[in-house]
Amino acid sequence: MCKMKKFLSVLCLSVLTSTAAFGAGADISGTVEKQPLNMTAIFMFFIFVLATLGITWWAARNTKSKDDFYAAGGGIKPWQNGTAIAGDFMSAATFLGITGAIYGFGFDALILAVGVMAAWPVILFLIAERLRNLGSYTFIDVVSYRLEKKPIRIISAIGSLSVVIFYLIAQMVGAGKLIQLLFGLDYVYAVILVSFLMMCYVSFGGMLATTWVQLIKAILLLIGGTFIAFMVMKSFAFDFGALLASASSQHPKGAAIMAPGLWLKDPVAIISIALTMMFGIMGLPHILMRFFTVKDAKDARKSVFYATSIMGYFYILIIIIGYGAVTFVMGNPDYHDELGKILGGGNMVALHLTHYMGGNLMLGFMSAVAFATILAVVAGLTLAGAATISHDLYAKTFRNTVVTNAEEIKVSRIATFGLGGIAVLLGIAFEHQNVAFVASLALAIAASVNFPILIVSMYWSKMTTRGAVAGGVVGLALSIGLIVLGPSVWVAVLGNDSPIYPYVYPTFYSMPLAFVAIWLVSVLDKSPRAAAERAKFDEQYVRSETGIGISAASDH
Amino acid sequence: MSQDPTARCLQHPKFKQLVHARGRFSLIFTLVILGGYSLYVLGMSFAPAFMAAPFRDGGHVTNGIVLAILVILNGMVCAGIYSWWANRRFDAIRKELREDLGHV
Repeated sequence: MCKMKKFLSVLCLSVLTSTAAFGAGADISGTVEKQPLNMTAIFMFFIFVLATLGITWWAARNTKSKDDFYAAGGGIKPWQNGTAIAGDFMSAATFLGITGAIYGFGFDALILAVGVMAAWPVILFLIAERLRNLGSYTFIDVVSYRLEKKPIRIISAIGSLSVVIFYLIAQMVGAGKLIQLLFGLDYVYAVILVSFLMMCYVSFGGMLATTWVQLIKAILLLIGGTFIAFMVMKSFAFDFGALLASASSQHPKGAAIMAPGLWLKDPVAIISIALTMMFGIMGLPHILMRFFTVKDAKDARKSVFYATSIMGYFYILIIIIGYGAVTFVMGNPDYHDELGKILGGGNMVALHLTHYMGGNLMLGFMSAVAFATILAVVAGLTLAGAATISHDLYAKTFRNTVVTNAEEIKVSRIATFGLGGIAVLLGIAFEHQNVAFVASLALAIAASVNFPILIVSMYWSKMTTRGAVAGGVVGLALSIGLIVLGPSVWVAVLGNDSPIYPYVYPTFYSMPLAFVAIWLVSVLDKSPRAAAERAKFDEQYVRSETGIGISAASDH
Repeated sequence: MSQDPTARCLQHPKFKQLVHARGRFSLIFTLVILGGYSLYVLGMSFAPAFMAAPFRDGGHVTNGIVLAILVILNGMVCAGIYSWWANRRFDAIRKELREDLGHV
């Protein structure tokens, strides 16, 4: 039996990866009796992969310089960029993870959506324009604008890469689970497959391919999400109150799922996650990188507006889908095993609801889209990680000579393959974590390292290199240290009885202390270098407000 | 003309106008967003009974859920107003400033 399963898995893998023998492959997988749904999902997924590989081929022909590779030559239109940014947030962690969290905890899980919607407008008001005006490819360009390049790039790169890797884990786990459930493919093969496709997109198509993959998937996910939410609402004659009433009566916790308290037990836990969500997003390297793909600050603003609107709409859908899942999936024997456990784990409830509402066809469609989502987000993350390694570390920090386009792109590609390998290994190691929580750990590091350095470098003229590095080290040490001592690692991974630090999110302490360290060390820094760095703020300020000088950075 | 271009720009009345207008505008909007979000977060932290209370008597929609949806809508509306305004007003001032300073 086990052998048979393995055999089928290998067959499925060959179906998914071979591009020529689709017809034959589909027939073979059709013989998997236990999973009659595979067909639609595989078919649609296959079309998506073919289409995106086609785009990658086209993008590769248009990707010649490093400017093309990192920033699509600055030629992305605002609506495209906005949709792609929204796509980065409508990830597996959102669609599967938040739905699963609402299913389990009800109201408390909404903070995962609400926090994002508080962050984006503030990015628009305070960050987007200055970022576009000051940087060329990564947010690290901005923080190192007037500071000593080497130390500041190294500390920011560590922050950036930690975020990328944690986020990759979240996505990989989602991918593995999803494919396991839908295609009957072994978790390990699934993770390898995702990594392989992602490496194709990023290393050949750069930012142009990455943006288009994200864009297409975002549109598909919006269509699917709209359908499911519509069907849920239709079941209740479009009465939201009736949906909530029904969800309350289904859930073992009753009406408590409409109120705080099931997941976040005390104010420190709540405020910590609220800070993590809001400020973490402002320090995500793969998101900040997208502001360099549009031509100027005006287009950056428009991108954020499109992105915010799409995300807001999608999160409202997710609230409906989450409570819809409680209503229709909970207590439904079709989606539980003999022991009453939910099939595929908590992350799969969104797809069970899809099946309930739209049958096998819709399940196939949404599974393919959910998988596509993971591919797209993973590609964006990997590109950001590769850019940090090749642009910030290799070209700007460790090589003292001029680095050619070809050399830099080559290093990016090597970095892409390296990150792909790491993603596979960590994806396997973190198999049993809830994906939304792992993604939030990435956000905690972003909020405690990248965000403080970025925002202070843009707004406070007295920050010095020493201050920025001190803040980065404090933020990084505390966020990683407290995560390790907290319940997610100390108890769940290391097997201790109780955590030393009681909260999942370290941000309540790590972010404010990072700011304090930046301030204190900058104020105490009396070195001549510090004076020179402060004197350069005026020039940075003029450029950040007016955009004078950016043509040199983005026109090639 | 021999003056440092940064100093010239900093003293330019249009630069001051731009920075002042935008600084105030972004600050007000940021406070509106932070205010809404804080209400939601502090409500969860310190007034769970209020968040759990039905929005309308006998209904299942709680104040908390209404507040969550309002914060989401608030983000969309504020982002819309800001970018609409900034794209008209600020970019016009900035364009004039850049022309005055000899950058086209």
